Amino acid sequence: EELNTAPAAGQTQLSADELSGQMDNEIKARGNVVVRRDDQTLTADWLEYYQAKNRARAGDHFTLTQSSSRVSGTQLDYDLANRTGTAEQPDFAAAEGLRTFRGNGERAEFLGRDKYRLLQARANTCSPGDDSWYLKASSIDLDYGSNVGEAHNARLEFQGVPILYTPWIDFPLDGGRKSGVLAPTFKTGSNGTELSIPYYWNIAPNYDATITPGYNDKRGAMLGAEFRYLQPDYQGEIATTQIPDDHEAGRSRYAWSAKHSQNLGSGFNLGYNANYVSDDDYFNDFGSRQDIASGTNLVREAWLGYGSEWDSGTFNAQLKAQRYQTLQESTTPVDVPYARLPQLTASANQELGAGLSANLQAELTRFTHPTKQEGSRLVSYPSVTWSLDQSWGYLRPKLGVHYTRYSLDDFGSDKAREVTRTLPIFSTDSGLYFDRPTTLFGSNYIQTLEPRLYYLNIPSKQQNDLPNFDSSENSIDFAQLFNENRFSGSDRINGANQLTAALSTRYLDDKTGSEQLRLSVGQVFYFSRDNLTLNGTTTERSTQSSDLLFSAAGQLTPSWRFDSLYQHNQELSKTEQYNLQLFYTPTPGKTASIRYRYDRSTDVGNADGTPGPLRQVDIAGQWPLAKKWYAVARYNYSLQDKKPLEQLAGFEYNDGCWTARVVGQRYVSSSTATKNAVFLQLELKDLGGIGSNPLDTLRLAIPGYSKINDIRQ
Amino acid sequence: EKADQSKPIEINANSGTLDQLKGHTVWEGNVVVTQGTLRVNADRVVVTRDDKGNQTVQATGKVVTFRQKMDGKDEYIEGQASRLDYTGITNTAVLTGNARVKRGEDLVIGDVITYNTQSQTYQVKGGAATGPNKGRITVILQPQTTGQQP
Amino acid sequence: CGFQLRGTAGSTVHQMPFGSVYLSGGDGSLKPYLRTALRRQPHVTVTVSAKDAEAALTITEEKVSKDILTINSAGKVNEYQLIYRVTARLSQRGVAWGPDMTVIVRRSLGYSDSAILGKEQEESLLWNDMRRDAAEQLVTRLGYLKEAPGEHAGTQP
Repeated sequence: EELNTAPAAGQTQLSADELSGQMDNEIKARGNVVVRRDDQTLTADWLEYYQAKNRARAGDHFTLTQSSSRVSGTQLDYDLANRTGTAEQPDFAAAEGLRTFRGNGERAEFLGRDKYRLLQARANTCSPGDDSWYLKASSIDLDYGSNVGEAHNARLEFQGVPILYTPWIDFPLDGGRKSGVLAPTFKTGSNGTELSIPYYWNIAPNYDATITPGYNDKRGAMLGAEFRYLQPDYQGEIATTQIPDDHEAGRSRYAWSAKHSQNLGSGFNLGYNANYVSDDDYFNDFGSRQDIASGTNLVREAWLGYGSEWDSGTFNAQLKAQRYQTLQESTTPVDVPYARLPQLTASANQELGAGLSANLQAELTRFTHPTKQEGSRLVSYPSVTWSLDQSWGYLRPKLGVHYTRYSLDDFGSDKAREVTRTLPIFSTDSGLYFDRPTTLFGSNYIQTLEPRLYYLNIPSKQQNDLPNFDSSENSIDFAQLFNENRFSGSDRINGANQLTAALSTRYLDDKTGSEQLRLSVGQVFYFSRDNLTLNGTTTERSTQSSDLLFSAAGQLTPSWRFDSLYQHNQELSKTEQYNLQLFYTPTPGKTASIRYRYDRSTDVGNADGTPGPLRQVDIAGQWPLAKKWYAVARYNYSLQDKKPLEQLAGFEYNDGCWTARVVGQRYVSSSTATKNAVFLQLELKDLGGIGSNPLDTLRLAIPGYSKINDIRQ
Repeated sequence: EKADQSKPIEINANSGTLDQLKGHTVWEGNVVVTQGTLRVNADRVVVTRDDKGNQTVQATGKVVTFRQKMDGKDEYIEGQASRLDYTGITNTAVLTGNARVKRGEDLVIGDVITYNTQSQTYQVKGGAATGPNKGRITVILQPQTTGQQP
Repeated sequence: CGFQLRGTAGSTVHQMPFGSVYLSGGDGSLKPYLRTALRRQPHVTVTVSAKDAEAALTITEEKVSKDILTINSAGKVNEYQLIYRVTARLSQRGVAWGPDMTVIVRRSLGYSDSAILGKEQEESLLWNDMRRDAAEQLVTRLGYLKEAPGEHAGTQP
């Protein structure tokens, strides 16, 4: 009965065909010997066990399995207590349930719990018998405590061809590395051909750094460095790319970016987000499609925030300093935004009971600008709302006073002056909810009908004597229809005596209530003709109502989704804009989408940068071609300019243990220039990728794109 | 322990007979043999003494048990089997048939265990594959409480 | 045409299966919108602490992403797509009350570099509208959950 009781911790249980020994000293066993201790199980042909030293010598053929691994070989000399020892001709495999990692070598050393070293070793992460690639190294250290593996003077052989040598390389054992970047990365395209070898340095459990020396055939030597830290209360990163001597530009180029966010406790938090590049063309020369597209204004901001919440209200305040580095382009000059050095904002909300609640939005900002009027602005907007909330609907009248005081510096001929603007704002939001069971295309739904009325009244006031620090006109959408102000920022407040009417209907799955389809229509009816423009002058409105807005979006079946919007311009009685997006994603790895977009006038419509129409079609997809083969493609064509804005095509091959990707991308980088980029990547399962990583680009270009090595073959 | 050798052997049982011719005595009926710290229980014990005075004890029974204190430690060594043959001159005890030897918390299980009380060495045979232990020997060693951390 | 005012006698009303709920999880930005949506549910109170609440609504996952949707012919961003994805679980004394509920809300933000300060505020207007929308969808789905886990599970949790 001792046999089948659970072995106590530290107890050694040994069984064999033949056995001899001396009490307290040694045991010699022969004939399929099995030794068990805690999570360790050792099987061997013969075994000598020295009890005092907990040391076992086993031979001709042994297999030692424990929580993190299974090692077999010819000779073993092992201490069962401290889990140290050596093995000859070892075959190593990570334990069941862990990421596959298999290797063999001349010798293996056991360096304590979950720590192993394979000498003159060969290893990969493929299933048994699959040697399509392997890492050959003089030593491979595996630490299943911190889940990091390290190889010393390692050579990577792919299909028998050595494709990489590195004196030192480390890799994740739990597939946990950040972007899976492994030495070396290789890029080619309009930015030149670039080879860089990142070194990932795991400084401490939550501090790591990546140093990436590289060479670009057009630009010369490059050095990238990124330092990241992650602590319970604060986290952040600092990254830079340095090109000390750019051959083509004949000067040094660099980019810096630093992010930090910290929770100081008791409601306080602080942080900064700073990005800076050496010159206007930096992204054109070094950036990817995303960098170029969204890299015009680089923010540099720091903030200190406080937030507190109690049962019946909240209070938030933030002190922020922010400015932008605006990268000018020769063809389309960009308006440099004001810097807010500093800006103090506060907002408070307090429920007063019986449905009443008070709200305050306040802001004090110092605006500076190289060429425009500078000054500071105080905004205080207290308001009281009474809300009646019932299951059949709600009624929410709100009354507030928007007070703004400018103290403007001297500017050209204008002397420094104080200007104030006080506008009462009254609005009432109301809505009803109707339901009924219904069927659509044969399945049952609960259909809702939700009329909503929103009345807004703000006295009309000329504001062309006020500067425009941060106001711009919002594009019309269903959120904007129910917004108090057509302009964002606080410099322009449109006069209003209007009623917004909207009706939306939703089809809810009758078992779970999840929304499958939503159709909405909405419009604003103006009772006064006064209309404020962005430069502050009031003009006469020519129509009694705003643009008419329709939207329809839904996911009637798990694989089909659509999204569409139509906006009719009442003034010009023309279509203002419409777009239709259709997505078909039956299974991961199979997705196709088509999007069409028309906009009557966008500010960069025509080639010369003047406002003009935008007509675009965007077809994208990822589809399996054959077993293991996938094609990815995207074609974004501007019908207006009769030229493609982005073309992307590529193939992906997933052989279970490695994935190869070849992706070519050609995109518009300015109104006159296009760029291309080629991504070649070999991704080794759970180890990392070599070459350039196209995954971010693919994720953005192809809606519904999924990584094929995550899909079960 | 070693001092047991010099101690007198005391045997009591339900019945005992002396066979002068073969020079051995036979005891039957929950026989208890004690010599110093050594103590054997069995259903039937045959003690033979050769002319030089060397004794051999053969104990049989449903379960034969023996118990003896270790030298210099207050730990006991216990054993059981269906048959025990103890030869004084060679200090060897042979336990046959579902044999077990327990010392402190360590345990050895097998079909035949040959144990030398002098050198404290033992050999174990697994016996037939169809036997209770399926021809296998098992040793259970408790964690080293002294010195080494388990 | 069969439409009934929600909550009145005839309507197939979907009452909340609990009288009081404690809200937790996520970065707290969805909480005010959940409170407003729950206020419209008759006789449901949002409690301050977990112990005196019949049920707990926990935000288990909250993901915010802003990706480029459309590019203009100068290669600059014309539209961003904002996606707010939230997963919530209703539970009673630790026992899950129905499957996790995931809501995805998408909006597009017209963008132009020369109005970046204004667009910053317009973007937060959209994020707030998306959170209001997501909160209302979550509360609607709460009404469709079956009885409390304790009742039909037989064993009192």
